[in-house]
Amino acid sequence: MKILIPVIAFAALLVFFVSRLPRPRPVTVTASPSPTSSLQPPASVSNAPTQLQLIVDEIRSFRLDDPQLTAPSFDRNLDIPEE
Amino acid sequence: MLPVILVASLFALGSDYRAAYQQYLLAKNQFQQYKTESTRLTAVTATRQVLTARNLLWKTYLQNLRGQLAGDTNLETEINYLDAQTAEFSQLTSLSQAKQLSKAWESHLYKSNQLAASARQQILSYRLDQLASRLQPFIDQASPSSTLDLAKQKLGVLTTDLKQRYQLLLEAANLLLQLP
Repeated sequence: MKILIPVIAFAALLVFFVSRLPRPRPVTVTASPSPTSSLQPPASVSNAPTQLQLIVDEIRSFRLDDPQLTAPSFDRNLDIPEE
Repeated sequence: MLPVILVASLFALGSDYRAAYQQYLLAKNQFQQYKTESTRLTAVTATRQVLTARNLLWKTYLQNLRGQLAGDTNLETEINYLDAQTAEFSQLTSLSQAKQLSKAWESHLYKSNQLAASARQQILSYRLDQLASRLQPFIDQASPSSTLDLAKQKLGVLTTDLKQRYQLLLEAANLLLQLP
């Protein structure tokens, strides 16, 4: 019984000090794929416009009223006064 | 590159013309109000400037059209006429002389306008031809089908109506997109 008292006291002190130790912070691990990683998904080719699609888009954006061809506006009758 | 420079130049010349026109209106009103020698001289100067600015603006516009058309002799003749007008305007010394030159210029503008309209038509027609020719390789490579036949038919329609030509080209292009 006499032996148990210091053992229990030592155990209590040990628990006390251990509980006061700073706890390790949770570490957030973010995994980013390496540029050279072979695990990267293959680049999707289905969304890339085809050559035909590009020409069709060009045709759709074609303007018959191209502003670069529009005639400049000016007064067509200056109505110069008599002297 | 040249058309871009000419368009930018046309924009600047449009601003110059509007400024000259405002000055002309101001000088004209002052002359009509006071009828003095000083206001007359100011009016003559302002008229000379507005006539020159208008002539230069129109000439540059025609040069822009000519730049997009290879060897249009009608436009060339018209540009030369406008060049000669610049010299005439620079020598005028009276309002009556300015009035006469301005009337002649304005009467001539009708013909000039028709040339410009024709040039615009040719430029747009050429652009549509270019777009249609870019579709040709896709037609050549496509497997025979009724959709392909319809696209060919639309591209083969001969018409001078630019709106109709554009519509047919667009429809043909959309049909080609549906091909496997």
